[in-house]
Amino acid sequence: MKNSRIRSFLWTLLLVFVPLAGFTQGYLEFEQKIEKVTLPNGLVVLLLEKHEAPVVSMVTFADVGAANEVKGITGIAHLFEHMAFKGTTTVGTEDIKAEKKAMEKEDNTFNAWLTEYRKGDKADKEKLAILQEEHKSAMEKAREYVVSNELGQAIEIAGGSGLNAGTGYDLTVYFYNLPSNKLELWMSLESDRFLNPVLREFYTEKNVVMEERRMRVESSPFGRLVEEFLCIAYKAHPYGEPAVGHMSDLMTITRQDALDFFKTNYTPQNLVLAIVGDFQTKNVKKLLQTYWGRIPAGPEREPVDTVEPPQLGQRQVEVDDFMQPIVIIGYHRPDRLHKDNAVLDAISDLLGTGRTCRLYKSLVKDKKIAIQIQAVSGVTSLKYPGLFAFIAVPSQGHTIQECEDSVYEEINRLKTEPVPRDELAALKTRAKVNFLRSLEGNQGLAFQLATSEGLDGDFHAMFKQVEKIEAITPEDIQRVSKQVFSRRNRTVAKIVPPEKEAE
Amino acid sequence: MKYRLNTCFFLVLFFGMAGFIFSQTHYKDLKYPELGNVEMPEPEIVKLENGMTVVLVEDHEFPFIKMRAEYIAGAVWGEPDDKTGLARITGDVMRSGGFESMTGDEIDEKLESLAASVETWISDVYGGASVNTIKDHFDVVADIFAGVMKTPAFPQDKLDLAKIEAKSVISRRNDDPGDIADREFNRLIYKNSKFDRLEEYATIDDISRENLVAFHKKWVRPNGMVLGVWGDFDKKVMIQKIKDLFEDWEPAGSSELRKPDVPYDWSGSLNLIEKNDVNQSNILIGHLGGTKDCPDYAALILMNQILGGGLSSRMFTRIRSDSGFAYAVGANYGTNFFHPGTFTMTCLTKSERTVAAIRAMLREMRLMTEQSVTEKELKVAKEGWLNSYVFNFDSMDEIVRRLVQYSYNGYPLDFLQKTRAGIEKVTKEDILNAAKNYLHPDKVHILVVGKPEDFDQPLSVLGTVNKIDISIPEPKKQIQPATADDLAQGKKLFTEMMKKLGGMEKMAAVKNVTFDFEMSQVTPMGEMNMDAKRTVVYPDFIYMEMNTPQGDVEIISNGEETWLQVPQGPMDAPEYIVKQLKTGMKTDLTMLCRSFDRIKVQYAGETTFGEKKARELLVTFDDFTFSFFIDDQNIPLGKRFDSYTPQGPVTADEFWQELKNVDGILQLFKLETLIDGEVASKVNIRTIVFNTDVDMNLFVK
Repeated sequence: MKNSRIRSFLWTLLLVFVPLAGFTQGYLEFEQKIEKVTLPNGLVVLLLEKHEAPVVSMVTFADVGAANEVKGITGIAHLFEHMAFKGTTTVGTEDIKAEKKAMEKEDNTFNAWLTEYRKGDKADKEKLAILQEEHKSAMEKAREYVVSNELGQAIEIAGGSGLNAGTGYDLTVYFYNLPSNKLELWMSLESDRFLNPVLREFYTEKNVVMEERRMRVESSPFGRLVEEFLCIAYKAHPYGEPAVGHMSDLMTITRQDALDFFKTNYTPQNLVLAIVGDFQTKNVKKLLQTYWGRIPAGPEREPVDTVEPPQLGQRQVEVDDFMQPIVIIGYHRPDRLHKDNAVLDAISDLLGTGRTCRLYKSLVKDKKIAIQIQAVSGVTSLKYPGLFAFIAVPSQGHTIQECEDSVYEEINRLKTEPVPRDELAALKTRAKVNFLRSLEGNQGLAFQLATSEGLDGDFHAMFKQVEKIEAITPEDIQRVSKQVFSRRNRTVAKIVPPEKEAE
Repeated sequence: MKYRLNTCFFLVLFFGMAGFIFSQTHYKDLKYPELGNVEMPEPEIVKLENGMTVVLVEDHEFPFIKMRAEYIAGAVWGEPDDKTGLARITGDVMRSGGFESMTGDEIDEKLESLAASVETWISDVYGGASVNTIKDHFDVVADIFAGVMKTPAFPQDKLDLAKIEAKSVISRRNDDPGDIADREFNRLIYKNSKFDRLEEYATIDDISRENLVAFHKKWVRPNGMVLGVWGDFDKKVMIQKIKDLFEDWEPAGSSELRKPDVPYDWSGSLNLIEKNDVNQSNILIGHLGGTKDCPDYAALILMNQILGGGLSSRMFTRIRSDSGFAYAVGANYGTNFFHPGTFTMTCLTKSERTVAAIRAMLREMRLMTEQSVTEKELKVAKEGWLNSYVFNFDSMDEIVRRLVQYSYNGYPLDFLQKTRAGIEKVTKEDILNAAKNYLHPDKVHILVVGKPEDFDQPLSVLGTVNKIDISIPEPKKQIQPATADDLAQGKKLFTEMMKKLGGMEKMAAVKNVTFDFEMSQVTPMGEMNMDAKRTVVYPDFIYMEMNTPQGDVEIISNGEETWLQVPQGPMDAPEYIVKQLKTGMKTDLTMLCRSFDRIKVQYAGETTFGEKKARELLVTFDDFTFSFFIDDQNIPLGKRFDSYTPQGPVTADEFWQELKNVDGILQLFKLETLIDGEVASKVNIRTIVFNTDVDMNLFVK
């Protein structure tokens, strides 16, 4: 044991001299090739030509997410993302005029049902059933005008790949890849998508989203735990609400709610596009003006003013589940633009990433009390102050308490002992190389560019992050650990088998 | 008519002018330039003398070098059933345990400090490895790679760690409904083959370091191995480096690829796994799939695409977009290189729509086999596939990985190009024929993981429901191998014990017995007291009547079925009750005496039971093993056996506290059961009566 430690120390000593200078050069050149275009309506576009293969990746980033929701309409950002696959005034319809009329009928019948439903126990059951039937037949009528999945089909037949979208607390992204000769198809479909959206099949899609909620949260033990964790970590900020929405909200959200949400949030000022791949910048700039320039700028929306107040003491929640235990430990931390953001990223690498991180060594390799341990520097994408979290999966026969104790022990070590130079050097090497690795695929790159521009306000931030990590000192790590990892600032959520209650 | 034409003309003109200013084009009117050429890199293929094939591609975009190897090793050939997990763990510990000049932990430190990776694994049908490093560190990283492949150390502590992980994963495998559904559906399809096996506590316990060493020696070798190397290097230099690393590695055994045996009987079934903490059913429907070398491969790709492959597929459109039944829905006609894959249709839908969703899925499957697809559907699927073909060449990782796979599996290196040519030729008729030949809607296995009490209709409306028991088998007891002496001694002591109780013949002559008793049970809600009556008619019938605070309940078993009789009528007994009753019969003294020729009794030496000194008798009755403890006078002190509670399997210690004579037989009147050292229940028996007239109608459901 002793012997092997000395040897590994020698190995790590060598590292300090690993030459990486030429390497950094590689991605700096890369950074210079990226062109940023801002259209008169405020829309920002990032362009990066890469001609290795005749393909191109496009990402639409929208500066909107679950954090922009208010109580009563949780899940609406995600629901709108689903609706953005339903087409426009010219895509997905047989006859837009007639369809709009039929949709109006759909809305009216739904609202009539909703009015009765809201009476709760006093609602007239028979009336409710009749209203529901009326709504159903209005839906069927409206469907007659729908060309199902026309948008998706147009992309598929053109050879599009990776078509999907995602909604987080701070962002909604839409993306796919095309053979590079068909970039104009994306220009046409995607600009139309956010210029003339038609929220057709709205009430059917709500059912799809409810199924998604059942899958991700209600029927998934880990999903249930995460939802509980977030809701007790926050008492004020919308990060505490489930991004997929509460079931009762999904039930009562109306199409008008979703349209209003769209109008408020999907202005061109709130969008960032990234295009990476085989194209000519000059041509693309023209197309951008033609297709995206036509979206009118909208009014500035109100910011999210709610600030999460400091915790008054540790918070805990238990989820009763007939399954093996899992624990999530969270600490409130500053947002992504805060000066200590890079330090927190470094801490998550040091403690909870890979086979040599401190927590893996302690909990998995040495004490054998966990089979999995992970540190996550940001549970959300951190436009607002968020949570630094640890997730531990105890090994068979070991308890959450043992894992918690060992995590706190390692956190304490971080606060009291300066991180050795070689450990910090290895971390900095990983940060550089892994960043370069993340630039390999077109889609991943486009996604990173758009996100960095959208959330950090400038895509250069993603390149600067490496420099910031390079500058971290052992003192920084100690200082930030002390600030963030206090008992008072902590939230713990665990899965506890019900049988344990008897004890 | 004429008027209309005019308007039309006007409109076109109008839009044409608008186009001059804006020129946005509706997607349907877009014209595209020719697609640029796909530059397919020319791989260099080198064969080493020891039988290893090396595929090299230079790629200078990023300063990385990567490798991927595949070789002939697999759980389905190299692993005895009672050591399931051996192949996977060997692949894992090759890397985690290091080799002679570097421990696994040193490798971890080294690689993490270089931001490089070396991984090894062994799956069901092949062994694999991957390497990823910046080019400056290639030599160091490649040495590690060669070391763990050729001379892994397999230290005991890393094997132990892998076993802890394996057992923890076993203990967690019934937590997530999606995991359960995928696993058990796979087992339904492959139930008669080696792909059906699961790692269990017992099989993991049985794996030793020697097993790993032997498995590696036999299966991890250069002949038959294909190694892909790509990235920022010079081919000539790299070839020499690879030779230096691997040429001294001696070939061993045959390098012929083996075809896994997959017997399949084409019968269907309807299966339920009860999971009561969910509000959504995981539904999987399907049967055996095919192999990639089948002549209809191209038609099958398009058929599946239309049925359930993408956003425009029928299942997605009809079951998701049009009806809102599901978020996750689709189909996959699975193909492997050598053994048949699985055809699977998936749908996750709320419990209250389970049966309706199954019907909708089956309808789509049937429709594929009955009617030709439309011209439009064929066009979308075919053009989509052909147009997205270019994405097969946008990542060097994918390109080389594919070449390695084709080469290793003995497929032509231009298999993808051949598939493309096949796709171009597929007609509507081909798809209908493929569906008719390869889809069998009347012979499907249906699996539902969900909460049956919430279903729209009972599953039984669709046929006979087979309930799958997924409870995790307990580890085998660490039993000392029995010597002939132990066995002889065991039976002798058992007979002595029975003599003390009144004799084997008297016990075996009992036809039925009725107990009247009171019982107090510790439950999560607190202590629960009840009065109960239990009648056993040997060998198969059990009738129990319990007056609980929640009401009266009868539990009845007739050997084939076990059910609860509640005021609403009969309902199936929960799995744990079925198992408790079985365990009861397997440890019942009358049963043991009646089956004395069939049971094995091993004397397992002196020990303590509770606080008392005791001798242990290990009794094996069919597949069930448990212990009797007797004192030095051969009086039984109690027994220890595996049982079940609503929370899962447990080991129970039953302490016998009072024996009394009934018709010449000493019977147990007071007992206490402990689980994990805590009292779980106490029983006081009031009366015991033998051989009464029992109304056998009690046992008719």
